[in-house]
Amino acid sequence: MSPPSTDPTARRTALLVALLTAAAVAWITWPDKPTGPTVPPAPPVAASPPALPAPAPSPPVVIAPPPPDVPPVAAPAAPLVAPSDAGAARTVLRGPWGDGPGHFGRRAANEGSPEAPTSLAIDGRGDVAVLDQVNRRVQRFRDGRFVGSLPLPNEAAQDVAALADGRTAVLDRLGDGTVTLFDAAGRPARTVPLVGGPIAEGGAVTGLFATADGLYAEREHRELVRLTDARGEPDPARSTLWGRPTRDGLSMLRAAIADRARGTVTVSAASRATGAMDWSRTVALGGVVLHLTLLDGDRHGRAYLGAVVARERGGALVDPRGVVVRFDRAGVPDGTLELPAPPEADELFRPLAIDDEGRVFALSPGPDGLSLVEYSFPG
Amino acid sequence: MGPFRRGACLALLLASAAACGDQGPLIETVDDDVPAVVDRPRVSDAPRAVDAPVVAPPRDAGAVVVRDVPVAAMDAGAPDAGGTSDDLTPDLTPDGGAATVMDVEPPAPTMGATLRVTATSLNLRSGVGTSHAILTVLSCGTRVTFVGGPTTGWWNVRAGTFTGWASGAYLVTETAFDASVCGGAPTPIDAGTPTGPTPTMPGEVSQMFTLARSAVGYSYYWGHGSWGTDGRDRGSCSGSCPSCTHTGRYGADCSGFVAKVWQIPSPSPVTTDRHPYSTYNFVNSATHWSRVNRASLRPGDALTYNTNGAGHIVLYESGSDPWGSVWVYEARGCATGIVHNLRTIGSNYVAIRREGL
Repeated sequence: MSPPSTDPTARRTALLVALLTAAAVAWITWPDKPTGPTVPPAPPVAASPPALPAPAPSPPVVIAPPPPDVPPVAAPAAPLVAPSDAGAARTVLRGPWGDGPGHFGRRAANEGSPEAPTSLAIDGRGDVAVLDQVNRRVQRFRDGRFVGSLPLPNEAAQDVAALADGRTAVLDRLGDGTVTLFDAAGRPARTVPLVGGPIAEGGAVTGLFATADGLYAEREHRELVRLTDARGEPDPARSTLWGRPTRDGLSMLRAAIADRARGTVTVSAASRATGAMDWSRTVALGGVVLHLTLLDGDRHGRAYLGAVVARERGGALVDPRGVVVRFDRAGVPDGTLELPAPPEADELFRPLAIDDEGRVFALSPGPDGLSLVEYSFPG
Repeated sequence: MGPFRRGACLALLLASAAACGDQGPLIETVDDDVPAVVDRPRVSDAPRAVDAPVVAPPRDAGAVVVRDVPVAAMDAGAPDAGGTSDDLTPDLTPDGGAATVMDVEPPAPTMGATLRVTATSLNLRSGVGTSHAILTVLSCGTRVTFVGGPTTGWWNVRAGTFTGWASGAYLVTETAFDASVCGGAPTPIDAGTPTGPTPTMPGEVSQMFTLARSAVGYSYYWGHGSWGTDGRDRGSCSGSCPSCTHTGRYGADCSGFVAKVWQIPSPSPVTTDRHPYSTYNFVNSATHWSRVNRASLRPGDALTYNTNGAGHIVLYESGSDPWGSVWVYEARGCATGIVHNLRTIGSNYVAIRREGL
């Protein structure tokens, strides 16, 4: 065996060769993906580990401490891997910018808020109503074809709701401060003022909802205020629901950004019958949360949360994109969809909707016109 | 990152930094044993940190991946508790696509239940997290109503005229309340009469909002900036601006409105028509204002954008909405005029702050 070389160059070369050899072996043997066992889904909320004891309040001290507001800490559930998929996407309809049938109005305002259709609704038959407020109308489509429109008195409407019996309701929170109910033939049947009860001003309304027992306006993404009964008669009591009712009639949903910068959002479901909390779940969406865009439940009891997230870089928000997370009946996330970036300047009011089966529909404005794209979760 | 992988990457680094850096797929897998930023131990004497089992799922391009982190990481909303926002996302989401799922809460009270405060002083905040504004401070024994949540330990409660978020650690049901925890604290106060300071703003900011409120209901008037002091002669706008038609004496467009509320470049009565700046100026210069981070907005700041000749600006009032919408005053457009409302703000808006605030 020859003695080790004392030549520094030769030693460096030998070391380099050894390192490269080790690296090459590692490279070849490295698995492309983790090969461990599949991670089982998280158990329902009830099976979660118990919460840690909450910290006790600070005892009185001579120098008053800042008021405590650090919340208690609960142990996380077992990890869960949701099926991830870019989602099967299908363009349901597409119309150019303009004012003809099947066209959509857009205003890229000079010194004003830019506007394009702000809301859509899917009825029980799968018909689509798109609020085309710049053209003062609601356009209805069936199987991607224009079937008619409802005329609106002004361009200020921002939300539309489809009732099960074919009627349509339109929210104008900033112009007239009203909700107009159209009959199944498209004729204005009744107009109801928004302000009253818990609704102090029209600008506080964040959505219009049609349920089996009437029309509701949502206040500040919190409770829903009943405006009319099922026939469309005003509800003088202005009774409230804790959150958005799901289509199976069993639950109410609420969502809140838990930490904008960390991208966490909490979704909670409460029993519509008892008011007791069914589940509450926090998800991190992988970016800074700009705002939430969807909270709804399908007829199978699943809940859907939509959000726009972005990256924060040097004080600016970049790479915005849409995300939708689906929760099963127990509140366990079981699917995610990634949606294209929303318009950077347009206000989003209700740009996403789901149908009874949980298909996600998204208004997607582009340079030449508006598309309505349907996204399906895998499985 | 596992030791084997680390060693391999180190070897590659020694041999050729470029060779290691070029292997994109290697850095896209979520690592098991490198703590993400949100996993950092917190400065706290409370045993909050929880070691969560961590999953390293495969990362498909464009997919949202689910991963667990200790809840302790989620409750540190204050900048001093968890670093800056810039260091949050990259470690968790090397490709911008991570999602985390966790259970976070003990059972919550029934909706509408009356709760009592057990801390000497408990902040009621406008949102979930210590970065949100304090609406009021609740004394020990104060009764509040549970209206929602919980959200990572924060409960949504109503105290008199205030509805906000407070730590559930210091709220108990009426039946579980032990008056002795309040010691020599003041007599418990019903929720109908909230204690503590009411929200206050610096005088100048408060004055701004007085001006802004007085403009609500006035018409959109492209290229102008004035309104009355008595709610009369609000004017009307029709058509699509700038090719719109305006009637009446008063009205403002978005930039005229903000310049008037900000009283720049110099004070002037609201009835005096002035339009000194456009959104292009607000975005691209800093005459009487400066750019600030959107995450550090204060009441009285403005949010603005200008792209390809189109632009808008709104006066920010508060961000208390749980969905991330913000309360603003704005001269929104011809159809609505000057309004006060909750709305979303697109990603290309930037925040600016008037000088002297």
